[in-house]
Amino acid sequence: MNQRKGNDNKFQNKTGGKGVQKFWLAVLSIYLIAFLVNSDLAWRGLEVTGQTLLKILPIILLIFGIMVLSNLFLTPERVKKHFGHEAGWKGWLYAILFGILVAGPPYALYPMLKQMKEQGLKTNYLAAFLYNRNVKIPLIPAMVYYFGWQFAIIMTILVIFFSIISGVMMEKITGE
Amino acid sequence: MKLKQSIIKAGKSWQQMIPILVGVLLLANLLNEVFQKYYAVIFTGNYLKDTFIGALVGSFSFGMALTSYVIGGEFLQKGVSLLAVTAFVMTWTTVGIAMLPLEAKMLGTRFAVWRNILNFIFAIVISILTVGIINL
Repeated sequence: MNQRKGNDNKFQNKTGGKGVQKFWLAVLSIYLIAFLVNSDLAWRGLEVTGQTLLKILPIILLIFGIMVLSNLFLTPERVKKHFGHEAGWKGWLYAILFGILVAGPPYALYPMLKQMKEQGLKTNYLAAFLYNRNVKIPLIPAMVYYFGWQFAIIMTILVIFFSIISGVMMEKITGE
Repeated sequence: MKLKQSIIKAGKSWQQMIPILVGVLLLANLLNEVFQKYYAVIFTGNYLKDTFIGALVGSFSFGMALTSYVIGGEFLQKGVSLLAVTAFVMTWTTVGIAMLPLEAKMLGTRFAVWRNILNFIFAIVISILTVGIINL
C-alpha cells in the first residue's frame, strides 16, 4: 500500500511542476494545429471553455467556502467517524445521499474530496459518492421525457446498487 | 485551525488544480467539437458493437448530464438501440477520460484509472440490465 501511495505521490509531484508545463505545451500545440487546420473549430473550443468556466465559477467559490469551513470545523476525527473505517452502513448511506444531492460537476469537487481523503475518507465511500453523481433528482423529469419513466426508475435503482459494488471493488483494488 | 490558515490550505488545493482544470477543459471541449460531427455515423446497427461504441463515445465526451440525454434522445430517433444509448448516457457521467489527469492528480492515479475502468464495465452491465428489465 505504501508503495502504491509512493507511486501516486511521485506522479503528483511530477504533474505539480514540470508536468503541468509539459501538459500546457501539449494543449497549446494541439490548439495551434487546430487553428491551422480548422480555425472555427478551435474558436468554438475556446468559446465553450470560457462559457464552462463562467458557469462553474459560482460552484468553485461555493466549494472553496465549504473547504475553508471544513478546515475550521471538520476535524480528521469527525471525517473518520462518518466516512472512515468505523462508519459502517452509515458511511454508505451518507456517500449515496451526498452523491445524489451535492450539485456541480465532479471535477469541481476533487479538491474538497482530496482534502477529505487526507482527513480519513475511505476509498469505498469516495467511489460510491462519485458513482451516485449519475443520479440527479432535478434531471429525472428530463430523463423521463427522453427515455420513459420505467427507464428512469430502473436506471436510478441500478446506479445506486452498483455504486456500492463499485465502492467495495475499489477498496479491494486500491487496498485503501 | 485558524481562518487564515484554513483559507491558505483551501487556496493551495485550487492553485494546484486550476491550471490543469483549464487545460483539460480546453482539450475536452475541442475533442467534443470534433466528436459531435461523427456521433451519428459511428453506430453500426449491431447491438453488441453499438453498446461498446456508445460506452466509448460517452467516456470521451464531456459536459452536463442533461446534454447526454438530449444527444441520447436524438440517437434513439435515428434508430440507435436503447442498449447503446444507455451505455452512452451512463459513461457520459461516470467515466471521464478527458478528466483523468485531473482526477489522478487529486485522488491518486491508481484510484482514477481503476474507477474509470470499473465504471466503463458497469455502464455496459447496467445498460444490459436496464433494457433487459424494461423488455421483461
